[in-house]
Amino acid sequence: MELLTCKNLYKNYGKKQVLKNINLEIPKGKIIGLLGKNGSGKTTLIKIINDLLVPTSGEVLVNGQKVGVESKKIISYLPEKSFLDHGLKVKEIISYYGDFYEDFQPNKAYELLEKLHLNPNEKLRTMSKGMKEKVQLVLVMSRKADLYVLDEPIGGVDPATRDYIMDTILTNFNDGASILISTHLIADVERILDEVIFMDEGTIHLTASADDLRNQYGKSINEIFREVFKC
Amino acid sequence: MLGKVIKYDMKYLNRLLVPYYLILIGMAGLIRLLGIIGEHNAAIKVTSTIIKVFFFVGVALVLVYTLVIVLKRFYDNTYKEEGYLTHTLPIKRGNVIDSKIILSVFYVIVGIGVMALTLLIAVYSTELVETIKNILAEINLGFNISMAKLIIYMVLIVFSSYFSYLLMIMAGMSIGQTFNDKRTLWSVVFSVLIYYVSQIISTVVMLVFSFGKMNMLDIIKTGKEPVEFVTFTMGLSFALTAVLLVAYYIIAKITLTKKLNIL
Repeated sequence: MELLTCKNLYKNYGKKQVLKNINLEIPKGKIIGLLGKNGSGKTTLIKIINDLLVPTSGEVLVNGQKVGVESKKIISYLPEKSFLDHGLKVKEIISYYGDFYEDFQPNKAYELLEKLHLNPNEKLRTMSKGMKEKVQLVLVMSRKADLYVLDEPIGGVDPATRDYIMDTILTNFNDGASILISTHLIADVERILDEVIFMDEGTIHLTASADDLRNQYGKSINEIFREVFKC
Repeated sequence: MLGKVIKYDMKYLNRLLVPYYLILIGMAGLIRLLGIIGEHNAAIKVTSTIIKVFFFVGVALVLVYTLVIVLKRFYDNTYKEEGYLTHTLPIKRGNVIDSKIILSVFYVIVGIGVMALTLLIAVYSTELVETIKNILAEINLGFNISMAKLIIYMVLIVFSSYFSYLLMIMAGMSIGQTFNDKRTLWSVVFSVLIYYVSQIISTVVMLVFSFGKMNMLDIIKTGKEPVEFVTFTMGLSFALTAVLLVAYYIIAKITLTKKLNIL
């Protein structure tokens, strides 16, 4: 059974169709890049997978079950927005995660915070945008999840920090788990990808193994993407 | 999991409500103190009067402030950025609403307690107690209603008003947030719409049932509202409010569960 399956998925915002007949399967143990230009439908798809949006039609199955309480137990999701209560201290947010997610590992979270030079006693309100993003990443990667869904995890950080974040993701995800990583900064993530999904105008343009694609075109994923989606 | 949602909602609400309660208690203490030490001092009397104005406004707004803070928590936690976390927690989505309702019961009781305590500290005197007793006795005579019944009615009025507004706005907000544009405006529009529809329903039901039961001509001729009529009308009003509360709750819960639209 596939870890995640999207069947004939459509999503409309009023008359505007933002997802058109998405059919997708994500197996276990793979790192998959969900790649596309801004506005291609990546975030909408991710929100539906995480039960934040109701699809117009079609369905999403996680381990064969519709999204809901059970799927949320095994999906660790990093949205592109700042989603934490800024009135709380970092250590309070760690307790919060520990209370709700059975697979959350507080010790790992404290270890990662130390590595990233973040103070658990500091309130989020007093932290910079970059620091808040790191805290969010720490929380998401401290779960022993089956699927990590990361929406633009490096979108708002400087190039030097991007590698650091990618390494944090790579060295901390649960063995045997899959990662679905959405980004338009392909050059920064392509080294870690097993598979790629190209999205364009609400449709899946291409799904392939990253190595097969590189061999077929004799170019990097970034170059192939630029060629395919040339304006 | 509902218990955990309540725990974190409570932490949030305490952060904003407890300081308000403490300020009121502090002001009440100050009013009492200034009353003792400044009996013959004009400056202290003026200061005390100014504090009293703020104090009484503050006391009058305790439940309004509670309502606003609970609704703010609901909005931030459900439809703003925090919703990304709230709705990806492994909990039933209805828990988000249930927690706010359960905590509202608690904070309305605490709010009433704080109002009573602060008024007691600020203005308690044997003369005042006598005056209140006399007023209650007159109500007792006029309406033939016992003290216990009167208190129950008053508590029911407070609770039904608070929860009508709370659930009405939650329902309006839930519908408004299903739109893709101008979601705040739609939330307000639907809250107002629900309010007016409820008013129309209430008026029609009250007219049909109350006037059907009593001979209005007698009431107009005598110029008095018979006790039986008042009691019946109040009972009907509470029953109707209860039905409407259930309707608001169902609208809010179904919309949140089936139509979530986090942008």
